[in-house]
Amino acid sequence: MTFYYPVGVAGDLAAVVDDMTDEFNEKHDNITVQPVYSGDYDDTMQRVQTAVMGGDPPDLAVVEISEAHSLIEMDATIPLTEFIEEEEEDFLDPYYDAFLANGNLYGEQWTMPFQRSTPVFYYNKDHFAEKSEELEAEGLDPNRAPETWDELVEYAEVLTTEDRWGLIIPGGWNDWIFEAFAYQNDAQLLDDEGSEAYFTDENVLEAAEFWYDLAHEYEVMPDEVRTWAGSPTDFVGEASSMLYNSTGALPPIFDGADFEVGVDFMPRNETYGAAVGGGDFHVFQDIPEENQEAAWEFIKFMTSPENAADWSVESGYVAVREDAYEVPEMVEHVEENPARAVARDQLEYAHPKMGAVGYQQIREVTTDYLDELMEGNISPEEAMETIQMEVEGVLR
Amino acid sequence: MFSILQAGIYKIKDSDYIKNIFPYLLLLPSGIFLVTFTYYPIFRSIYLSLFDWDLWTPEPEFVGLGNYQELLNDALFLRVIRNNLIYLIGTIPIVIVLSLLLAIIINERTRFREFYEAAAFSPTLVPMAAAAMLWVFIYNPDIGILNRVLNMFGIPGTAWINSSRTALPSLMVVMIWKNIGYYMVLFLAGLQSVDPNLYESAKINGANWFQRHWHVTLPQITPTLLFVIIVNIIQSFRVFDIVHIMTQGGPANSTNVLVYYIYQQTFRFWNMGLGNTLTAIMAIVLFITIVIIMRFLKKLVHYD
Repeated sequence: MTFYYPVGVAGDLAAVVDDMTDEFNEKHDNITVQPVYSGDYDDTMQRVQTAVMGGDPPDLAVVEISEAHSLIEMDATIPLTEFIEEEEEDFLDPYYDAFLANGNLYGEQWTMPFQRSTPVFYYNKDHFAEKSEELEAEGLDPNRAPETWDELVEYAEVLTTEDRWGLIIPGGWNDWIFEAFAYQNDAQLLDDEGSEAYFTDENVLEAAEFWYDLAHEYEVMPDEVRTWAGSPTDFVGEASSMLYNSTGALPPIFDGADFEVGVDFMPRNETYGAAVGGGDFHVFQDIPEENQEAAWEFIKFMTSPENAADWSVESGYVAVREDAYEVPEMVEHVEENPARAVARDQLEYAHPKMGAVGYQQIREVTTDYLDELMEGNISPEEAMETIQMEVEGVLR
Repeated sequence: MFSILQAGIYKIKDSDYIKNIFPYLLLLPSGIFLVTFTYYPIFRSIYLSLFDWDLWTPEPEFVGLGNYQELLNDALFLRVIRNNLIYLIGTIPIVIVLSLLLAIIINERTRFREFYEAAAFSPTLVPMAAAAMLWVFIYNPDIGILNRVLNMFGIPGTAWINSSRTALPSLMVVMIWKNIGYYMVLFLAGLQSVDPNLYESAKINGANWFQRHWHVTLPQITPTLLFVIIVNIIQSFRVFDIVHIMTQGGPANSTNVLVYYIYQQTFRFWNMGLGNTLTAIMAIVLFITIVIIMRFLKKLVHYD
């Protein structure tokens, strides 16, 4: 059985996947899983699509969660509902609803969560301490992260100095971070079915204006977009005091930083909010039935409480089920690294990530115009109107 | 062993029939590769460019020139073409002048000649992906070495590949740095065929350094020059890896070029129809450009 998997974040996670697969193969005489590392999320989706088109699909693959619609549209994957129904009745209960939601489409469960995350808010506690007097003079507590958008601006204004930024919101996946800002402002970018877009809603526009102002009115954020993969390095290199990035950046940031790192919820406006992210298991059509059954066995194995805990500890991803946090290894790890619990607790405010058929096109146009917006080449209104128009073209 | 083999080949070559097809036999292996991996895909791309074929249309539907029309109305396509032209016009003259100049200077040296050759050639030896990653760090606006060095001299740095204003020129600099050594070696080879007596007589007639090379070197190496120009044009239309690694076409499409756009349309958006149309356009444009350049430059070439 072949299993395509991406590694979406820095670190030596391929070795961890290999170890877990070896353990599975040893325990199952009649199943051999062949893990195939398939690059980042975009690469993996391309490989999967090419393989499906070529009539030789993988048996199992971890694909970025917003791609589910496209794979279903291509008739590439099978729903897992039947397998789930054969399990015990409360089989799905331990899994976080926020993580199951992305695969729950057209009345079926199409995917199972594996490497899941949310964006979180990183801050440099040493910088906060260094500026404690100024922060206190503004009535801000230097021992915690900003809790609201307004506070974010106030903190960032104090923390921005001649040679470092108050804040970095990196590009590359800024569509995902922007989605979180939309949720924080009680808005949504796409409806759950992936059929309607709301980029020109007043609350979304407000979020866009806020981004624009961070770079151009308050000047606390660079007006040239930093790369997604490079931004943890920027943060570790103390180029900024605060950073939005995935939980996947936890290990490189904690390993690399010479200062005390704080991790907290992303600040709220109307409410706290985030869109979940990461990759889910998909099982494919046009493969022998016993392979589909074997794939299901493998999914159950990989998301068992112990393995979910193990995977989370190694990768920084949020464990996909509640009871993983009761596994002794995990309890100990969270005690030592309270930061690991932040994304889990933020799940209370998390929503499914936007998805639609042709999601890659939606993502590309969203990141393109958010880049333009952050650079100040176009106004927030123009950016949102253009994205809305282009996305409507994709949604048809 | 070797001589037996040689003798065998000569024996084969002696027969008239074999003699005639022998060169074709030698060409056959690369011919097979050319046909399967170059000519067949080109013609298939041209054929498929007449079809609508994407996520929503899994079975190709004939649309005639519809895809071409769609591209002409696609602002991003025009932007991509513009980026390609800027890249081409911005890199080719600089690469040619610098690599030729380097070749001439090194050619006139006798001491440490190998050292200079190796030094200028070394960027070519670095794999493109590694070089691109290296430059990502060099260009980092906050902690990169380039801005740090500039700051030491009191020059304010800029955001290089992170700004849509400077990203494309920044990539061009990397490609110029990467390619000069390769073309320098080609020019060095060309320079070996120039008759030294010509320089002597030019010198006696009072030509200075610049005049000597302008009137002697340049006409003598036009075959090399022609080759370098054509390879350069093809390469600048084909530029992809550096874009993929350093900027992914961004920020805001400021570094999106033709091949990267083909990649996006085909493999990310799964729009096979548009992807094939773009490929067909590229193949046709390149073919025409090269034919024109060959005709134009052939008049100038001195083959002896």
